[in-house]
Parts: sequence; C-alpha cells; structure tokens
Amino acid sequence: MKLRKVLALMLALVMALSLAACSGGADKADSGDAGTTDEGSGMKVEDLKVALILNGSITDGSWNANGYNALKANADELGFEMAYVENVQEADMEANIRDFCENGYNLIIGHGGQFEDPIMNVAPNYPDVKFFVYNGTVCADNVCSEKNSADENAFITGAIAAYASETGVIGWIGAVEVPTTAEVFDGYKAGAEYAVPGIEVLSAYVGSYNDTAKAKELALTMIEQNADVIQSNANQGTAGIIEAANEKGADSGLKLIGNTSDQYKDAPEFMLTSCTINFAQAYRVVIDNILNGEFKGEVILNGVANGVMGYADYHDQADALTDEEKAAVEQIAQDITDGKLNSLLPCDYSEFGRSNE
Amino acid sequence: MLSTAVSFLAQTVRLSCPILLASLGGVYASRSGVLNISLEGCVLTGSLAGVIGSYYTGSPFMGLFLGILCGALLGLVHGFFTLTCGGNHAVIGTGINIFCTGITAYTFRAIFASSTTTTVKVKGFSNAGIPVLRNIPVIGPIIFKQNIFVFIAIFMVIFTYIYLYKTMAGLNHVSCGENSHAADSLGIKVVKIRYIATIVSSVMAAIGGVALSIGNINTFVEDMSAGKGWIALAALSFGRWNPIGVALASILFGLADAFQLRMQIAMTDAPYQYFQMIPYIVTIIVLIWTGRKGNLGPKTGEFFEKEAK
Repeated sequence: MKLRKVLALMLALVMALSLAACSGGADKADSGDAGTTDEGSGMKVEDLKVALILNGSITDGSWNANGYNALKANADELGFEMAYVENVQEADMEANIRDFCENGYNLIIGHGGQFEDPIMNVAPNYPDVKFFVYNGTVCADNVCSEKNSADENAFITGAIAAYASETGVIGWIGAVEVPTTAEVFDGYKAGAEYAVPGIEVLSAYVGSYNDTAKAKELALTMIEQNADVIQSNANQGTAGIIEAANEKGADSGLKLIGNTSDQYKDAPEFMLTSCTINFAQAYRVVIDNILNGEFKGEVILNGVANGVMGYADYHDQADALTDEEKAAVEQIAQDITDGKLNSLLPCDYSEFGRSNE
Repeated sequence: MLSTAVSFLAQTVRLSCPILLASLGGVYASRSGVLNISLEGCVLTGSLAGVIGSYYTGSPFMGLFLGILCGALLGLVHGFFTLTCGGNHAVIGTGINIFCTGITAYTFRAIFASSTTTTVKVKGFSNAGIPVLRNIPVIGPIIFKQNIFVFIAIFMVIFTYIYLYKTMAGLNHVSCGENSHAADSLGIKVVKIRYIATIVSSVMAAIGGVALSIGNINTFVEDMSAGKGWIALAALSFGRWNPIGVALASILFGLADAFQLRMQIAMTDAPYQYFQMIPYIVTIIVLIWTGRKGNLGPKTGEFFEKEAK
C-alpha cells in the first residue's frame, strides 16, 4: 500500500510539472546591442523588464502567437529582458499581473481587451510600474492602451474579397462574438458593399477559439451556399477552414483571406491576402515612449495610417483581381489613410480621435 | 431542397461521430461501475497521437494505432489509480484531463512547433467512402460517403449492444456496475472486468480524437477536443448508458450543432448562442424526467475490495 501511495504522489507531481512546464517561460535576450538609447528622462534599455500576459497559447498561429512574436522581436532588437505567461484564465489574470510587479518587471503588457479590468485593478498599487493594454480602451497615470481600428483594414480585405468573388457571395467566419471580432466583420461587410454594391455577405461564429471541426463545417456550409471567398477570424479554427478548402481542391476557385499575420504559408493555393496587424510596430510605439520618457496615460488609435493595420500580399493569387481592381484596392487603402472614407467606416472611434465624417 | 437536407444530415453524422465514439467508451466504463470522466483528455491525446503516428510513418492507420495505444495507456493509468489504489474516480479523471492538456501542448511544440507559426499537415483518412454504396441516393452521401470513423462508430454501436445484452460476458460486465459484491460472490472477476472496461473506454475516446485530427482536418491544434469529451459524458447519461440511446443522444447533439451552424448563416441577426443551447436544455429536461423514475444508472465510482473470507 505504501508503494502505491508513493506512486500516486509521483504521478501527481509529474502532472503538476507538466502543467508548469507549458505555462510560460522567460527569455533573456542577449544584451549585446544594449545602451543605444538616449539618456534623459527616459529609461535605459537595460533597466527595462517587460512581462507579457496572454490568454491563449503562443502556438495558436494568430492572435497570441503574434503578441509573443512582437515582444520577442523588440526584445531581440533592443536587448531588454522579457518574460511571458500564456493560457491565463480570467480568474488568474490579476494574480499573474501582481506576480510580475513583485518580481521587478516595469512594463506589464496585457495582450487583449480582456486584460482591461485586471490591469486597472492592480495598477494603482504599483505606481512605478507601467501597464499597457493591447487592444484596450482604458488609461490611467501609469496605464496606456492601444486600440486597433479593426474596421479599417477589414474594409480593404472586404473590398478585395468582393472584387475576387465570381459568384457574388462571400463569407466571413469568426471565433467568438466579442466586440473586437464583430468590428472586423462590420468593416469587412462595409468594404465589400462599397466595392461591389449588392454583394451577399454570409457570416457566422464558431462559438469557440479552437473547435476546428465546427469551423470546417461552417466553411463547407458557406461553400455550399456559393460563397467563393471566405475570410477567417476564427483563431485556431482557421485550420479547419483551410482543410475545408483543401477538400474542395485548388481548381474549385475558392479563395481564403487570413487574419492577423500573413497566412499565405498555411494555404498557398487558396490564400488571397490576409487582414494583418503589425504587432511589433504596435508594441514598439509604447516601448519607445517609455525609453524616451514620453509615456503617458492615453489611448493610442492604431490604423492603416500608422502602419499597424494592413493587408498582406496577394502572393500566388494575384490573378484573382484585375489590374483595375488592384488599383481600386490601393485607392481605398490610400483613402482610408487620408481619412477620406471615414464616413463609410462602421465603427465609432470618435472618442479616440477618429472622426466619422 | 433535397440536396440541402442531405448535406445537412451528412454534416450531422460528421459532427456526431467523435462524440459518439467517446460516449460509447463511456458506456463500457459506466456499465462496469467505473466513472471515467477523463474522456476529454483521451480525445485530446488521441488527436495528437493520430497526427504524430501519421507524420512519422506517412500512414494514417499508424496514426490510428498510436491513438489506440495512447488511449489504452491512459485507461491503464486511470484503472491503476482507481481500481488498484482506490482513488476517487472524479479526482483521478480530472487529473488525467489536466495532464493531457499539458502533455499534448508540450509534446506538440517539442515535435513540431520550433517556431510559433508553423502548421503541420499530415496524411489523413480519405472520406471518399464505400464505392457503389456511396452512390445510393440520399442514404449514400449521408452514411456511406464518410470516413472510416463513421463506420467504426456504427459497428461499435451494434457490437456493444450485442455484447452487453446478448452475451454472458456482457451480463457479467453489467452486473459489476449493478452490484459488485453480488457479482463477486458468483465468481466474476470484478476488478479485471473493470480494468478492461476502463481501457476500452479510454481507447474509444482516443479513437474519437483521432477522428477529429486525421479524420477531419489532418493537423493538430492545441485543445482541439474543444469539449467533445464532456459532451460525450452528457450524451452518456442522456442515452441512459445504453449504446442505442447514446447513439441517438450523440446524433441529437450533432443535429443541434449542424442546425445552429446553418441558422447562423441563414439568419444573420439571430443570436447563435440560443441554438447552441438546445441540446443542453434537452439533456437537462431528459435527466429531470428520467431521474424522477429513480433510475440513476449504474453505480459508478465505488472502490471494490474483496471481502475477507
């Protein structure tokens, strides 16, 4: 009986360790090129310790992977110390934030709007620590946010989808109906209707971030209803949507639009473009502000204009659009940059400085 | 109209299949008196094992084999801690679920994800179906133009039914879940039957997982089981621990899912969450209804120790 208890204890230990092993890690970037920052009211780059908190897995190939890669890219380039923790559930967010504060991290990044409340709750207790909510709308003395104007580049990819469609039906699949995802759809639909009036836009949510089977069935259903271009904002479900396309075959004329990063590599035969967010650039804005002593409690609106929101290259699918259509897409992108299409953009970001006129 | 109905039902079969496989596993465990709530973890592990097996050998059948092997291993672990050590079934099952979440993510990254943006494509099972039979109108595309897992599921429903209700071994199996000490007094080897039942149940759930990965999207993503193992547990009690009942319950869950997917596309403004709730509401109603009759199913979770002679 004693042996059994020891065995049971050992298994419990192994389980606990396996959980801990995949919950996070710290990367110490080599500080070879450190010391390149300005002196003054800012902070020396070697004093900067940045912690990133993610609510999903860094291998999801989209949102969380990009957050991790963005910080990693900046850490490698500038040479500051970084750490991250992934798969943090709502209930554990505050504890993780406090943990990093206690351990001497001076910039805490919450990667997503869901970190707003936990960060606002913790921030007053650590006035010397800076907090940054990515895709949030909160600010305080030591808290800043960046809000993505998600409708801007979705407007462009919607237009691309509409131009590329031969059936007059396009689709859009989201993971879970949260405001930031809904904004992407609104932009996509508005862009499609702006480019090709009367186009039919199908939409659906998987209802989960990782249910690949359901995502695949949704895509198959849309294809059955004649959709020939589908944009995915379905996180891990994108793998299911790509497989639906594979099943239909490359000669079906089907096109997919990826999200967040250029997803061309995942489906070269189908990927028309991707609705991209340049996370490294977005992070750099805040990090530069801290290093230069220009950090203030504000909400920065990212858009096509500041290079954060964009769309990817057509790669192998360049023939899906005529030269005139490509020129029209570029014109739309230019007009959005110049603010000329603001009246058509569906989301109201007036409180962050984008007028809708 | 007919073609829409056919593709809707084919979709229902595809969505039900992994749930049914895992749920049938649950039948074996529950009927022998074991509460196996580690089905979710087994589904997830099966998904990854399928991809790994297919990746290294190039054969999806080796993926299926590796899935079965991993399922058996998890079943053995569950059996050891509950049946030999006398651990609480719910606690051990939860432990295995948590362990599987961690170990699959870790293993997947260790093997495939050297960078955070790779996706791995492996050879999967064909869903071309059975020649000739698949050309039968209506029935063909719904039942026969499917992949191997649908046939495994159909076969296992029939097999399980005959085994449990028409064979001596099945009767012994069921008696362990009804009254283990009475069964023991008749010379039935309760612990041995429970070990086998637990292993079979985890293997079935793992096959359901293989169906999700190389039977469907030919790749693995973390947490791709997405609650299928839990729905299988709901289907298990909804189906009254009976293979036919479990099959009907799984089909109902698949049907509700296929329905809500279509309703979302058809009715843009309707909140899809309401459609997703349907099977769960039905489950609660059925459980209340059947619970009133005092039939709470097999006695699961007890620790069997032979009485001293």
